[in-house]
Formats: sequence, structure tokens, C-alpha cells
Amino acid sequence: VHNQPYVHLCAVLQVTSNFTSPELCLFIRDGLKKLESGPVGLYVPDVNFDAIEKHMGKSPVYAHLVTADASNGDDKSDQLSPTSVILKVLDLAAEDFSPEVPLTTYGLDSLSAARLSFQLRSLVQVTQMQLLAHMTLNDIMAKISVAVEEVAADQGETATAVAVQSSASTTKELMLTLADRYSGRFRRPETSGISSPSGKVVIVTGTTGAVGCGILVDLATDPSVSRVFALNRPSEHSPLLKRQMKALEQQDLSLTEQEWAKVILVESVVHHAKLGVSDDLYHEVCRLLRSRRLLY
Amino acid sequence: MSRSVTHIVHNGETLHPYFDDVTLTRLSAYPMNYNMDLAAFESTCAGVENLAMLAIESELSRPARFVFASSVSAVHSMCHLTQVAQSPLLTPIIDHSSSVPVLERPSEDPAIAISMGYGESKWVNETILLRAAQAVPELDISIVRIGQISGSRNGAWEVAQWAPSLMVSGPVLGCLPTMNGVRDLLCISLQKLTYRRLSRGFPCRTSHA
Repeated sequence: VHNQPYVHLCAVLQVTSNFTSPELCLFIRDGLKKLESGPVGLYVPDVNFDAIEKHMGKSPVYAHLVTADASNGDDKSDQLSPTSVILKVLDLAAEDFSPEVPLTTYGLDSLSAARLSFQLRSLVQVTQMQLLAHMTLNDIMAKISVAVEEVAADQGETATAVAVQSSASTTKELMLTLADRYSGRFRRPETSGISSPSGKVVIVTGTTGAVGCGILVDLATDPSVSRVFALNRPSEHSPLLKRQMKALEQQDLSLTEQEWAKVILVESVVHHAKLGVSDDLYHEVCRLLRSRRLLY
Repeated sequence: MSRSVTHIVHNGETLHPYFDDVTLTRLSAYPMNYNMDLAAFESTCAGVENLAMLAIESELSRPARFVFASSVSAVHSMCHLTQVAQSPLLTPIIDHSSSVPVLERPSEDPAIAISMGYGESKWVNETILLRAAQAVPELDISIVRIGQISGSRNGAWEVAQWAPSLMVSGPVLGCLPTMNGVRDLLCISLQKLTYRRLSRGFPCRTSHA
């Protein structure tokens, strides 16, 4: 009988579907009560349309119900970061929020999603439905950066399409991809060159003396020894190499070039901090000590 | 865990010399969040890779041992898979709903973990470590799949865990859920002991605790 009024009522309810269900029920009850006293032309619920526009954006449907003042002072929120917008919409404290957790976990529903979608519009185009599909802050940030690139490249929707496609890969593939991505660096550590000799490494002090000379030659000619650090006190008169050569000569000893290559002559004062040698050498010796390849 | 280590390693070769002679890495830190999806756990993979690299590049004559606290959720969907063969490696851990034993061995099929991001990421990290051990046979890894660890020395529970949350909800809802079977809870002291033994070189790569 009252066909016409019902249609009107439905039309209005559609527009105002941003209310909670109790509110909606109140409006329906209100409308039905009005119908009791005769046909209703158009039912407009008694709500604050200024607030609706602020949250949902402008709409020709209710623009005429908004007071002029409200529609002006709206642009401040455009400067907000996505995080602060989300925290505000969801009424969350920053410490309770994690960018990796879907917004729906924090109670995002269709209403707050619509509000969020509108409030984020200056930063990124994201629909209510996308927000409800377990979107996280990280997803939104990714979308924003895609949008920024898009603008730069002026390529319209292609970048978004790619992003959506890549995120559509199955969990199984993602698991394998992640495993691949983070297992490519594993190699057996190489043991080569001077820094990591495979044989014994020996520190010997005082090789310019008669006994020391003999020990040095023994070590340098021993095939199981790959490196000899020969520590000797520095002298102001002549460099260590010259003194060592002279000492060997006096003992009638000599080393081949290959044997010499194993020997590192070091000017050192053993009672000084770090043996009085350079930091680099000291660390090298420490490293070899730790590797338990060093004999003293 | 993962972020700080990533940071240290990413800052080039500026690792503290302390890291050079690590002999045992026990990875227990992990984001306990069952709502995050797999992609959100990617930082943990980077963390596991970095820590495994530290173990491999140890200056000691052999790489550091590596113990990873995984989760039973890494094999969550095992009961849905039928190809579980009889093996001497069978463990006493039984899924009560289907009575399919879960094997103490690594799984190559990601399907076994598919359920929630948390368990999926544990599978990925297990796999990363297993690949590290394949590439570097000297690297001694142990994967411990932990279920629910209960209580503490003084009997107090972490209220955010599922069992206490369940109890707390009781007075509010006026009821408790009905569950089939028995939930096995491992008390923390026993778990610690088991874990420590595994860390000391129990000759097994994948264990359940």
C-alpha cells in the first residue's frame, strides 16, 4: 500500500549506511513510526552531517545538509602520516600497534575502513574493501611508494597491477622464495693465502741470537710449518732484516727463497702493550691463536 | 633479534671482535605473533641467515654450533598429509585428533607448515639452516620444535599465552571451550634441561621438545 514511502526510506538508508546497526535500527523504527501517521516523502535521520562529511568526504547526496563552516576546516588532516591516521581511526596507542599486523586485527570494520579510506585519500588510493582484506600498515606504505613511483613514471595503473600480481603468489611459493633468498650466501669458508695457512703457525722470539737462528732455520725448513713470526727487539742502529741476515751468516746458515717466504720478521717489545707491534699484526696473530693453529 | 643482528652485519665488517670466537648460537628470540602473515616474518629469515653466517665464518677451527628454537607449528599440517612412512625416528609426539606421528626430521615440503604465518616462517628458517648445513657440512645445527612451555619456577604463567588467556576468558564468558584429547604442556625447567642437552650436541638434527 505504502510502496512509495518505502522506496524513499530505502534510498535514505543506503546513503546513511555508515552508521552502526543499532543506529540504523533506530532510524528504521523512527521511519516506520512516521509511516503510521501517513506517507513519508523523504526521511532524513537526525544526525550530524558535518561529522559525516569530515570522516567520509564530500558527497552530493548529503552536501546540502552540511553547514558551510564544516566543509572548510577539513584540510588540516591531510598533512598527517598514514600511521597517525590509522591510530586515530582505530583509537589505538602507538605502542600497541605493529605495522605488520593486519588492521582488521585491531578491530577495523566496514565503518572504520570507509573512514580510513577517506582519510588516507590524500596519501594513497585504497578502498574500504582492500583495507578489510587483511591489509597492514606495511602494505599501505608499499602502496604509497608504488603510487609515488607511478606518478614519477606517469604510467597510470601498470605498477599497481604488477604489485597486486606479485602479492598473489601462493604461500607455498613465498615460503620457497624466502628460503632461497636467505640461503644463497652459505659457502664453506676458504682457507687460502697468507692469512689462513693450513699448517702450523709459530711465534718465536730472539732469532738474531745463536740459538734463535738455529730454531728459525729449523722451523722455516719444517714442511709442517707454514708461517713463522720472528719477534725481535727493535734496534736504532740497523734494521731487523739486516741483523737477521748477519746473524745467519755468522752461524753459517742460510734459507732458500721459498723458506724465507714463510718467515715474517717483526720488531717487537714483548713487555709492551700488544707486544709493541702494529694493531693489524696483533689482530692477525690473535686470530691465528684463536684458530688454535698457533704454537708458541 | 633479527633486526639488531641485521644492523650489525649490514654495517659492514664492523662486527665486534667478540663475535669471532662464538662457539654456540642459540636462537630463541622470535616475534610471537600469530596474526602476522608470512611476509611479515621476512626479517627473521634475514636474522637467521646472518647468525648462520656468523657461525660459519667463526675464526675457530670449526664453525659454531647452531641451535634454533623452532615450533611444532612448523609441522602443523603434518596430520593432513598421508605419506608419513613408518620409521625408527618416530617420536612420542602424537597429534591426538588424527593420531599421525610427526617425525623428528626436516621436511622438504612447505605444505607441512601451511597454516599461519608464524609456523610457515619457522619452516622457512628451518630450511635456511638445513641448506646452510648442506653447504657447510662442518656446521652443526640443531632444530628444536617446541610446543607449549608452561609455567615458571615460581609457578607463574605468562598471561598472554593461550592457556592462561583461555582461563581468563572463562569468568567473562561464563564457560570454557570443550576440547578433545589431552594437551601436553612441558614445564619450563624440564624444557630448559632438554634444550640444554640438545645444545650440547645430542646427535640429532631435528628434535621435538
